[in-house]
Amino acid sequence: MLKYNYFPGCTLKTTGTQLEETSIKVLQQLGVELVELPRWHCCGTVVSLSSDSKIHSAGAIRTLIRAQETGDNKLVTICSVCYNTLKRVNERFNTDEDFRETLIKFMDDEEPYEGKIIVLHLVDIIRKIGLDNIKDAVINPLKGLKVACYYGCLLLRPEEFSIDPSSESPRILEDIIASVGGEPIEFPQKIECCGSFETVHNPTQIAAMGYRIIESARKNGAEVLTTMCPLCYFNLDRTQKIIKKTNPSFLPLPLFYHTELMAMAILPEEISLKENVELNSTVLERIYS
Amino acid sequence: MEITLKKTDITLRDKILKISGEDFNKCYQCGMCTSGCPVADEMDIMPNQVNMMLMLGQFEELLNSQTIWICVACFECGARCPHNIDLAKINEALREIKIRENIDLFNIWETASTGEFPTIALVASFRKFTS
Repeated sequence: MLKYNYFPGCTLKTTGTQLEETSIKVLQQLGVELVELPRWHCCGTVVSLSSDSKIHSAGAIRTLIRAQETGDNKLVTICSVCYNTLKRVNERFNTDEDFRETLIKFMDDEEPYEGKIIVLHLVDIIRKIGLDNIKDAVINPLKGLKVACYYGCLLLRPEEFSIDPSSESPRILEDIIASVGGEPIEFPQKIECCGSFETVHNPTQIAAMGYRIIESARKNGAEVLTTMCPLCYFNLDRTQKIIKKTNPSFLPLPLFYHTELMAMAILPEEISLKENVELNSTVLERIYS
Repeated sequence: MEITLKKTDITLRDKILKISGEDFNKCYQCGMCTSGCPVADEMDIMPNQVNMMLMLGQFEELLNSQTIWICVACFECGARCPHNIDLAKINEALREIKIRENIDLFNIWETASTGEFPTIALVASFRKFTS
C-alpha cells in the first residue's frame, strides 16, 4: 500500500472529525495509507501577510521539520488552512534568505529545515490515484445526486498555490463528484469566501455571506452542497442554523464533505452521520436504497 | 495635484509600505478589487478607496476604519488586480499597526465563550484581532 506522511492540524481533531475519518477510509479503500506525523502541533493557522513578521511562521516550519525527520519528502494535508499556510511558508523559506536564516537561528534546538518538503493536498493524492480508478471502485453510485461543489478561498488563492490549474474556474471537485456518480452543478458563488475566521465575532457577516452561497447553489438546481474545508463547513452549517432561527420557513440544504460523498459511493460499509443527522439522512437513504 | 505629507505621515506611509511589501501607488482605481470583494458591502471604505486614501495620505482615517477589520483575507482582490497589488497584505499592515500598539479589536476570551468554534477560527482571530 502506498504510504504518505499526513499532517491533520487541530480542526480535523475537533470540529472536523468527519472530514478526517472519511478521508482516511476512502484513501485506504483506494490503496493509499495516510500516516499521521508523530509530535505534530498547530501550523500557525492563517499565513502571516506581514513582510517583517517571522515568528508566526515558526509553527509551520517546525511541522515541516517533523516531516523532514521521517526521511520522506512529501507531506499531505486535508485542512485547507493548513495546506495554504504550510505551502506558502515553505515557499517563502525557499525564496527569502533573511526569513530562512532568522528562522533557522531562532529554532537552533532543531535540526535545520532543508526546505525540501513538498506540501500536498488530499486532492493531489486523489488525482494521483486517478479518477478512472475511483470510478472503477464505486459500488454505490450517487445516482445523479445534484451536487454544488464549493471551494472557498484558501485552496485556490493565491493562484500559484491553487489545487486546480484554474483558480478562477476550478473543475477538480466537480470531476471527483462525477466520478462517483453525482451530477455536479455550476453556480457562480463556488469560489467566493464563506467569511472564514470572522465567524468568531461577526456571525451576522457569516450569515449574509453563507446565505448568498447557499441560495446561489439552490437556484442553480443543487440538492446538496459539498465542501473540502472544515471552516467552510462550519460556517455554511452555522449560517443555515442562524437563518432557520429567524425564518422558520427557510429550507436548509444538506451539507457534506466531499469525502463523505465519496465514502458513500466506494466504502463497503455505510457511513454514519455525526452532523445534521436529521437533514442529511434523507440523502443517505436515497444513496443506500 | 501636489500633496504635502507631514513628517509623521511619511513615517507612517513608509511603515505601511514596509510591513505590507505592496506598493499602493501603482493603483489606477479600476475598481476590480471592490467588485470582487465578498465583504465590500459590510465595509465603510471600499477596497479601491483604501489605495486612494493611502496615496492621499489619509492614514488616520484608514486606521480608524471598520474596513481593515472586516477584510477576511480571501485574496480575491489580489487575484483580480491588473497590477498584482495584494490588498490583503495592505489591510494586514494597517491591522498590524493597530495591534502593535497593543490595541485589541474585541475581548476574544469573552467572544469565544459564546459558542464552540473550530480551532482554526479561534487561533486566526487571536492572530488577526488581538495584540
